Amino acid sequence: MEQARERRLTFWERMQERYFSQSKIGKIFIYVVLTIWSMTTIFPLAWVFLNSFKESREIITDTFKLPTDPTLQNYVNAFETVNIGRSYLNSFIISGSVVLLVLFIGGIAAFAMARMQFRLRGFLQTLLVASLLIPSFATIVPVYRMMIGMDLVNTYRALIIPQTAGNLPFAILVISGYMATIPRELEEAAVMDGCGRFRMFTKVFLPISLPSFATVGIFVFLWSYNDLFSSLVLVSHEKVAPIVVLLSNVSSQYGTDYGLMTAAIAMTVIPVLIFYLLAQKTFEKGATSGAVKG
Amino acid sequence: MKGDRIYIFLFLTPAFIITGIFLYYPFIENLLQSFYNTDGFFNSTFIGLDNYIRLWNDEIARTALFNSLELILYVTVFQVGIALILAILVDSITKGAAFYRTTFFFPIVISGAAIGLLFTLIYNYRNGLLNEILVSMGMERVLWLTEQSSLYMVAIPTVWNYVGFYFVILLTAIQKIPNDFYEAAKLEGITGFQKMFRLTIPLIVTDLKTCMVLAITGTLKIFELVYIITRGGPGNSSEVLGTYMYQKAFEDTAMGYGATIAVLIVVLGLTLAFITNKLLKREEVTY
Amino acid sequence: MKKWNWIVMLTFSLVVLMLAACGNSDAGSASDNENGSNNSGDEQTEQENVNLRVVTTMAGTDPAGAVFQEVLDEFVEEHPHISIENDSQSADAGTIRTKVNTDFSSDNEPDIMFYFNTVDAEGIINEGKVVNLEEAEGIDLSGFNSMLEQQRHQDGNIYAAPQSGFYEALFVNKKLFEENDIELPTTWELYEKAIEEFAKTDIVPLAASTEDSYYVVEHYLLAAGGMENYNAELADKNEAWAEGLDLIKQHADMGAFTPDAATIDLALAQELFKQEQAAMIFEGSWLWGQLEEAGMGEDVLVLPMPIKEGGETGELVGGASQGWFVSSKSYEDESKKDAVVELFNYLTSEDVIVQIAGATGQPPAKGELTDLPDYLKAGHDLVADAPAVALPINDRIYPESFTHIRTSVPAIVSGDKTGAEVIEMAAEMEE
Repeated sequence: MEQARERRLTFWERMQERYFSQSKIGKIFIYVVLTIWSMTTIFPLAWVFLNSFKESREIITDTFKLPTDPTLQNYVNAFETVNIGRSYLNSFIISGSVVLLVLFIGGIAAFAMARMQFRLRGFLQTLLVASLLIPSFATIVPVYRMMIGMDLVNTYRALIIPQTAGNLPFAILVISGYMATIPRELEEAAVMDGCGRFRMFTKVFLPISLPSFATVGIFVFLWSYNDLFSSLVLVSHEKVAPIVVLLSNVSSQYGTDYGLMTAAIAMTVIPVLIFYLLAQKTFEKGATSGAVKG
Repeated sequence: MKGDRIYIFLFLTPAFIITGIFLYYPFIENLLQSFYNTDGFFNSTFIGLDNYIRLWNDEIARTALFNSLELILYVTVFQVGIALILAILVDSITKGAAFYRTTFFFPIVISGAAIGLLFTLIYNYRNGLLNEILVSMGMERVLWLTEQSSLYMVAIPTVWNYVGFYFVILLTAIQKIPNDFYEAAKLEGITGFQKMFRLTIPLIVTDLKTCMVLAITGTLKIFELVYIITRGGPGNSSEVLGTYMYQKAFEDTAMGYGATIAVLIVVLGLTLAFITNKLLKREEVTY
Repeated sequence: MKKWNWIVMLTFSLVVLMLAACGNSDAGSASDNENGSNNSGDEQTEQENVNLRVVTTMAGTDPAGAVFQEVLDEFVEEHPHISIENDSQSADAGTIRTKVNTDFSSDNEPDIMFYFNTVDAEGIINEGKVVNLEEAEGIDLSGFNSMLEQQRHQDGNIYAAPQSGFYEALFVNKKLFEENDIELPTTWELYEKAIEEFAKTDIVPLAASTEDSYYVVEHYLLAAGGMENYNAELADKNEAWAEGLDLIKQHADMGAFTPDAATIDLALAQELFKQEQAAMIFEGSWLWGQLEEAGMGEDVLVLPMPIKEGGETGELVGGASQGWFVSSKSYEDESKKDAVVELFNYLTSEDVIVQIAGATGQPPAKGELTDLPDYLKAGHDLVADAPAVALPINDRIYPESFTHIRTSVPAIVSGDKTGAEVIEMAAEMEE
């Protein structure tokens, strides 16, 4: 058995073995690759932040240079155009609610999709994939009409409900994909203990799938938070508008204020990064619960 | 399991009620619009299948369709591929993993408008970064966005932008693999690349499948980056279904025709997702 | 097992309740937010309180935004029983058309709006959703200049009152012309000469996007056949239109544009001009703000498009494509009518019009701006002296057709299509 396996190794694989995986060189190689990639990903963020301290014109003419004469004017302008505190709060109320609703409703649905057998399962799966394909341009007008009809325009719910609907299919697919591979023995053990389906969900599947809930939570938060298009239609009023609406204020036919744009992006990005770092804690937990890596 | 019925019903109903009302119903309205010549609001005449016939004969739509398919290929191969490699690499190290996990996420949080502007300023002919480097090295300027190259030039930022997304999903998936699997593999002398192909990938195949589906569906809807970097040009050479639909529905107020393109996107995406599922068909592995 | 069953049921019913709440019960509290706008008539005070919703595009980097809000505040101060909700959104955000159209078709229209009186408003006007201002009692349309007449709809009525106008023209960088010893393009021959001469230098003759080619198309069509042909219907398949498009190719072959003209957008074309890397650009009068910011106001001159044949150089693309509309629903609502009329007359008073125009430097629809710098004054004079002024083509023809013409310019330039083919196709789309 052991030998048979050995023989199936290709030359290439053996070389990998020898020179990469088990050697110092291999480790260094890994770090080099990762570092190169991270440089490409840090670059745009650094670009945004550095440019947010430049004058609007300089952003186009000298975009890849350090600011020669750093200014906070862009941020001052941003603070003047919208009520920052209020907008952040609105963003958190809206996106926070969307995340909670999606994770709860999506979580139980994912559990059913992943662990229960029923006739319509295939059909529902198709329906879910189909809904990932529906462009938001195609749904915004009917949704806006419904919101007008329910007198919800310019309330938090006007955005929370459609965003929840829009993100549920993604959540169900990812979480159910994760749950699908959880060992059947765990499920059986839970049945032995006399657990019903709901308890099985809360006591077994939810804790094990926590990392995927966190992952989904991050992206749902991100998408909800960055959804400028729906926000402008459904919650444009200052009292309820989220921070991303700031981005719609950077241009008009009189031109684009690139300085304001970079400052606005910098300001909208920060909370998402904080949220990501917090949610990451759950990955770390997931990672350590898997014990030490070889 | 016995008595599951009620739970299936209870667990699925809320999700499908809310998506039904706010996602499927609007889409059905969209579907109906595709049979009308309409601006979406005031003028509408029933024209039967005319929009579909028009779509069939529309050369730009055909270009957009093939461009979208080509992009899907790049995205599924490179975006998911790079993400998988990065996830496996990050999983294999202990020091600095948190740093990479954080930085790889950066491009996703920055709005498409900014990424688009960034690449516009990189590719620009007169003052772009690439040409400034060439000029400073004493070379001639290069026209980066041509009819031949434009699709690749939008594919690069498109692929790069969302690698972090699949990276996070795949890393989450990899980290759920119980460590005893690796221990056992180690005892059997399976490490490195072998470990990757024999152990890691088979164990996360469901998640990979999810990623493929997400990549296909996401790419079909791609709009913002392409729109900002090339505006679909030059000469429609980088037009994709997302940009074409936006142009028809919003710039041209041809809502009916835009709706028809939306229907095409959904049908095409479903077909592709179905094929992917068939290709990757395996018994779902549990640990 | 039983116990858990029960909990599940409870959770489920909670979810259902929550969903239901979203739909019904809480709608009451939602309307509290906008109480004034809907049910204010119920409250009897000395003067009935009225809440008006005003939608405009004066937002974002539009310098009129701040002035407009001030003007509204002043109005509210003088009329304590009226409150105003300023629901303005930059037209660049791309949602305003969707919003306005949905609002008007869902019985949720704003009371007064400042919107495009172009093909964009066609549906709203045809449905009778806005008031014919000439026949509306109390509405004052006196004192306007020719911009008002320009608003007249095909049906003979006026539905929108202009605020200020714009003009499009050939912006030339005087300094670059002088430095390179090239004559200003005041005639067609000189214009072609300028392209030829600049093409030999490192300076781009014309900053333009051939994809976002709105202004290029308009001016070449005007140049090819003068105003008479410019005003033709698309269905006429006017030969001058086809010729104009072919002229773009001719000039492109002479080196008029940058090699990447097919992929840059208007903003980047403006950037070429602002960085003095291009000598000329077709733009609208809204560009002045940016030119001033770039410190080159003094160096720039606006010239009318030189006409090749069939017209008189001096004819302009311009006018007022936006105006103040009053929605029929509000006008017919007795509790709102007076307030709406009052606000409309206030917003279209000479005082306010000049105040708002002052922020943008555009020619006002009433009165005149004083103390303008010479270069702005020159533009206003251009309009005043123009033998004819007409709105941009895309304001009047079917949007899909215009997009086809506009986005076909790169193909015309590359020789894949001819002007005549493009116009033919565009005319076909209109039907």
